[in-house]
Amino acid sequence: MIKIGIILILLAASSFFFLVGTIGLIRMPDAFCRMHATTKSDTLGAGLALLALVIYRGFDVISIKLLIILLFVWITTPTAAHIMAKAAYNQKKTIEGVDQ
Amino acid sequence: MNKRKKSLNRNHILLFGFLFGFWLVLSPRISVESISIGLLASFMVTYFSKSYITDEGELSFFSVGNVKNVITYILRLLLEIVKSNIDVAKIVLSPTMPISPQFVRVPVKPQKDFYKVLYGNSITLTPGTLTVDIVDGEYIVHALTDGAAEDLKNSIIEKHILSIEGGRQ
Repeated sequence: MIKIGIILILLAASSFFFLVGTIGLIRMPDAFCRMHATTKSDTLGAGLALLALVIYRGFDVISIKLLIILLFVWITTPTAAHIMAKAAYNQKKTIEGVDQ
Repeated sequence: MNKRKKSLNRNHILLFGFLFGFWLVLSPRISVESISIGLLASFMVTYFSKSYITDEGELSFFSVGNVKNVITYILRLLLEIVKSNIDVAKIVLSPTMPISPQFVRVPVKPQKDFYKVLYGNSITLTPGTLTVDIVDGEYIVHALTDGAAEDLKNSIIEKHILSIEGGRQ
C-alpha cells in the first residue's frame, strides 16, 4: 500500500516536470531559453518515472537495467543539448555577423 | 608515439571488464554461448578502439582511491539537478517569466578531455545554465538568469571535478 503510494507520488511528480518542460518550450522567447526548459525538466521527469518503475519491480536484474537506462539518459541529454546549442549559436553568429 | 603503440594497458582491461559486465547485465540468462559471445564482442570492441584510449590519466574517475570523491560528486550533482528543476519550473510557471538570458565565459580548469566533458555536461544539468561550446580555453555558457551566471563564478561542482582529477597523481 505504501509502495503504491510512493509510486503514485513519483509518477505524478514526473508528469508535472514533463508538463513544465513542455510549457517552457512554448512560452520561452528563443532557442537557448527553450532548451533550458526542456533539458532540465526532462532529466528529472525521466528520472522520477524510471525510479517509480525501479521501486515497482523491487531489487532484481530489470531494476539494474532501468538504472542503466537512467544513466544513459543523463549522459545523452546534456550532450544533445550541447550540440543543438552550438548549432543555434553558430547560426546566430552568422546572421548577426559579429564575433560575440 | 611509442606509448601509442603499446598494445595493452590498464585502461584496456578496464574497458574490457566494463563492456563484459554490461553484456552480462543485458543478457537474458547466463549460458556458455552468451558468455563466449560476450567475451568475443568485448574483445573486438576493445581491440578496435584501442587507439582512442591510451591516456592513463583519463580514467582516474574509476580508480579505487577516488571512490569517495566520485560519490560526493554524484550526490552533489543529484541535489543540483533537483534544485535546478524546481528553479526552472518556478520561472516557467510564473506569469511574468523573470528571465535575463545572457552568454558568459567561464575558464576551463580541468586538464583532461574527459573532465572537460564531465564539467560541461554538469553545467548543463545545474540550475539555469547551458554549455554551448569551448572556444580558446573558455566555456561559452548560456545563463537563464543573473543568479545562475553568478553561481558559475565559484562552482562547487567544479571543485569536486578538480578534486577527482587531481586525486590520483
